Amino acid sequence: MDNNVVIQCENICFSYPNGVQAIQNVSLTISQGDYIAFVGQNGSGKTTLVKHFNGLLKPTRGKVLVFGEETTNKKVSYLSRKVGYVFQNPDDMLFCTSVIEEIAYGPRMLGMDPEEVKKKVENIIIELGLDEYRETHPFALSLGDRQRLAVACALSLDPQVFVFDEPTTGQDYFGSKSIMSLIDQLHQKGKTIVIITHDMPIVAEHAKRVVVMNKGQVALEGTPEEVFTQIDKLQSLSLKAPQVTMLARELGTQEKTILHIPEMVDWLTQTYLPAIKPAGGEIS
Amino acid sequence: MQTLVDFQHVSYSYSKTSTPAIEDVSFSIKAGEFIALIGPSGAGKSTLCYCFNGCIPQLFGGSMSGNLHIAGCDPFNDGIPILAQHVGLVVQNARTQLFNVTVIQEVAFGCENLGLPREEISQRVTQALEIVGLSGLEDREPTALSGGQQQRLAIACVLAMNPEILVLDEPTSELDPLGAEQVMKLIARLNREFGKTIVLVTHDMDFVAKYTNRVLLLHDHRLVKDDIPANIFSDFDLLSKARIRPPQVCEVAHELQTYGYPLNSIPITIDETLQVLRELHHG
Repeated sequence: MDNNVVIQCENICFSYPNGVQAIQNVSLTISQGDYIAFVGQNGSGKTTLVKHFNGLLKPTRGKVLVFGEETTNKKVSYLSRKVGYVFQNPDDMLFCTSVIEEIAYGPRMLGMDPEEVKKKVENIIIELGLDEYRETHPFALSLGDRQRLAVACALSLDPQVFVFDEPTTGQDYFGSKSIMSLIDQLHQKGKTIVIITHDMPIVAEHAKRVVVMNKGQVALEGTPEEVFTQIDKLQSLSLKAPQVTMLARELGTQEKTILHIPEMVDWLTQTYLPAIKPAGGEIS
Repeated sequence: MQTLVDFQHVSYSYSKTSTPAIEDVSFSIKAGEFIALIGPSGAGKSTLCYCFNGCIPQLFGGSMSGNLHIAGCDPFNDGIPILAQHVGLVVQNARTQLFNVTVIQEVAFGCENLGLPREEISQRVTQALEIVGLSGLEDREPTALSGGQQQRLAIACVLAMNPEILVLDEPTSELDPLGAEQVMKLIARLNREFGKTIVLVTHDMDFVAKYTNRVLLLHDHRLVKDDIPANIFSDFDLLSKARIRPPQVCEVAHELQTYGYPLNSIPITIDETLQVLRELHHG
């Protein structure tokens, strides 16, 4: 087996006890250092699928391998050291009475040496800018800071893989920018990142690979360029490429897919629009 | 058009706080306008929403000053049941305002509390559900609906009370793209076809550009700009100060301006941008 593979799904199916078949025959390989975005409408199976990555759910058919080990007989407490999971709503995972207790909870439950736990918590608090809130009750924090705390809790177990379920939902521009730069930093440190999001510009600007889910299956997969090129297919799944991508397509950039504002401006100024004459009397 | 809403120097502080949640806010709204209320988290948008139907100050306490008129009512003194017939407020995270066992009971609840005759309630409920596209789901449990359906149900609940103003606090932020688009189309239709005056709180600037015709920008508890979307999205200094990211096409146009391309105004939708760029292309 390839040493770089961190998570492997082999023909997995999952049905909830009420009979709803949420995942239908999905095969997928995630390698170390990947930065994958799962997109698709609600009910398409995104959350159900990523909950298999740390054993919160076990497939009803097929198998999921996490670092080569099949998850079926593994406990979540064991797998959570390898795959950290940050819920869509941070309030679903916060329950201690102070920020430092909250971060210490995971490693303490796994029986880590108290001195070592203390050191770890200190490092994380500094790293995530939560220092001034160490004794604060988690529910007294703003949504953005509660989100950071949820990331801190996942970090405390030092997993190789991080799963973020809609990390920017309900946040303003500043809040979502700050959480995405935190995720980017984890990726730069070599962590493998899995995010679920409805925000296509975020996918275009951050992810290296996109998986589009529809009705429990993988409908499209590839780099952001490959996926966002298929504007019509996306539309049939009620998804939209970023504005600049649609704009570029309308103007006829057939040779490549534009995903970012700077790329768009470069193409416009260098290819599409006539050159600006310095003597034109416009702003220099 | 008649002035429906008038805020003059309105300030409000929640009880036990020293800093005001909104400070010296003045604006008026005419019947039929579609207004976006934008600003970073904590700017005072939700607080302002609660001023429209008397919840502030009547329910939340705190201290309020200034002059305020809403559809001929005085939110300081006229009871919330009176205001509820003029202003329909759909709160942030609408599922928290749903509590009945069936969809039909949920929509009927407001009208029942207004003491309307049985026949009229039934008629209003049927019509409200039809407008929001939930006919046929009368006997379903509200909590079993999808997020988008719950949002539209919350809208039906206030519609049944037949208010002329709808205030919607982030109705699409928790929805998937399809659900969000359906809710926005519904709100636009309520404005266009049914003449409802809309106040929409949102972080989605593409929706602001596409649907609304006026923007109130709150920053640090104050109203810092009141203008049409095109002028809001051209004021890049203010946008960056208020931490608002305009639609991508506005940023592209702004970049082109700094390159020296002669753009008279900043386009705010894809169609407008295409037109501007094609004109430049053909010289």
